[in-house]
Amino acid sequence: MQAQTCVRRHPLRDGTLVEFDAAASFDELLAALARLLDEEAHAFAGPNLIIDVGSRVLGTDQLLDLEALIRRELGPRVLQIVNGEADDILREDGAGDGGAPASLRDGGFPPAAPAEPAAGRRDRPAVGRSEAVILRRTVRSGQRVTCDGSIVIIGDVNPGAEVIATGDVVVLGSLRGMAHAGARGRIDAQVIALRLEPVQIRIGPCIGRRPDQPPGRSLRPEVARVLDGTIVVEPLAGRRRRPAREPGSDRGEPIG
Amino acid sequence: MGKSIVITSGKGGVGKTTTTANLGMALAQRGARVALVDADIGLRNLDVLLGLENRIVYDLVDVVEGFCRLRQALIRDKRCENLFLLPAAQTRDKTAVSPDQMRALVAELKESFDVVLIDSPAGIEQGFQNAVAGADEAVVVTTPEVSAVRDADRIIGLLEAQEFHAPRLVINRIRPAMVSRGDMMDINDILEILAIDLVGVVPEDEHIVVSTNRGEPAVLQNSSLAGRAYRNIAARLMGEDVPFLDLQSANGGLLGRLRRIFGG
Repeated sequence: MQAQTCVRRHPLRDGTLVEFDAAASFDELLAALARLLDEEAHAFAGPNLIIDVGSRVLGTDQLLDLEALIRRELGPRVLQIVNGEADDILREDGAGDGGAPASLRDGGFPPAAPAEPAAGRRDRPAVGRSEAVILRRTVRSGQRVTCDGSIVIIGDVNPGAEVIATGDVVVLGSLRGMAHAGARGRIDAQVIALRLEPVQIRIGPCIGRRPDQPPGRSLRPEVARVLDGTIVVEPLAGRRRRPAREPGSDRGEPIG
Repeated sequence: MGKSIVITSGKGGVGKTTTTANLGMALAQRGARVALVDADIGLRNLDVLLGLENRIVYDLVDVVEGFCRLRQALIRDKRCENLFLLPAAQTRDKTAVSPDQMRALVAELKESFDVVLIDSPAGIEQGFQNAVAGADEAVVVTTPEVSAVRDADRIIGLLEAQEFHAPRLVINRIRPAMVSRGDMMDINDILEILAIDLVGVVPEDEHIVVSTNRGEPAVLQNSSLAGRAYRNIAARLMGEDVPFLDLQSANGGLLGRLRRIFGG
C-alpha cells in the first residue's frame, strides 16, 4: 500500500484535507489520489476539499490535471490547492532571498492564505478576493512564482520570468515576462502593472501575446482583463477603453 | 587574506575570459598579487589569452586530485611578476571537480594572493556552480544584446539565491555609434532590466582580436580604448572612484558631439 502513504486524508468539519507527501513525484501523487478517490469516495463528504501540496510548486498543467481529476471523481467541490510551506517555494525556485520569509507578506495586510498557520486553515478555508501574497523583489529570468490566490509583486518581472496566480496578478513595477492570472480558470481575474509590457498574458483559459510590432510605451498603469473572450488592455484609471493592444490575441485553447 | 571574484555571464562569447585576463593584468600592474583561476575545465582558454599555453605542466584538476601541490601548478606571467595563472585541464570535463573542492582551492589561494579572479564557463550547470563556489564577489559580463541581457538576468537571480548580494555589471562590446543611432541597446536600457551596480563599460575594439591572437592582453597597449576601460574597472574593483570613459566623443568625434548638443 505504498501508494496510499504519499497522500493523507484528514476529515474537516465541512470537508476534507488531503496532504501530499513532499518526496513523491506529481504523477505518483495523482495516481495515489485517484485510487483514494475511487476506493473511499464516500469519505469525501462536505463541500470543501483542500489539497495541501506543501512546498511543491505546481505548474498550470498540473493544477488543471488535479482539478480535472477531482471534478471527474467527486463532481463540483470548493477546491483549494494550498502551499503549506509557502516560504520554501520561493527559496527552492531560486527566487527567495535566503532566510527572509518576511519578503512573502507585508505586515500591513491580512495574512495570505498560503502563509496562514496550518491549524487555522483547516477549520476555516480562506477564499476571498481581498487576500494577496506580497512579494517584495524582482522576479528574474528563469524564476517562477506561483501562488494560490492573488499576488502583488513590488518590483519588476523581467523577460523570461513567470508569475502564475489563481487570482489577480499586480505588478508594482514593469511586467516584461509572462503573467497568468486566474490560472485555475477564473476569467474575471486581472493583470495590473505600472508598466505593462509582457511577452504574454494569460487570464483563465485566454492567451494574449505581445504584438510582433510592439506599440509605443505607455507610461500609465494599465490593466489587462478579458472582454468577450479576448484579452484587452486599458488604462487603469481612465474610463475610455483603448482597443486591444494585442490585435493578435485570440481566445487561447483552454489549457488542459 | 585576499578576496575572490568570479567573472560570469550565463551566455557564452560575451567576453568573460577576455575580461578576466585584462582585469587580472590591470590589477597586477597596480601592484596587487593576483591569481587567475580558469574554471572552464575542458575548454581551456585563459592561458591562450595570456600567452602562457606553452608553460602549462600541471592544471587545476591535478591540484584537486592531489597529483601536485598548488604552487607547482601556478604559472607566473612572463610580463608581470605578481600575476599567476592556475590553468584548467583540457582533457577532462566539469564533473572532475566539485564545489567543495573549488571552495577549498580558492580559500588556499586567498591566503597568498590579494585578488583571486575566477573565470566561469558559460551556462548554469555544474561548471558555473563550481566557479561561484569559492567566490566572495561576482562580476557579471553582458553585451548589449537582448539574449545576453536575459542570460545575465538569469545568472543574477542564481547569484542572489546563493547569497551574492551585490553582483556588479560589466557591459562589454558596446558600439557607441550604433547606440546613438538607436540600433543597439544603450546602457540605461540594460540597467533598467538588470538593476545592479555598473562597474564598467567596454567599447568594441579591434585591438582585442589582435591581442587575443597574440596572447597580449589589451591593457598592455596604451592605444587601446578597451584596455583603458579595463584599467578603469580594475581601479573601481579596488575601491577607487574613476569617471566613466566618454565613449561618445572618443568614437563619434565632432559629429557625435554635435549630434548630442542638438539632441539627436
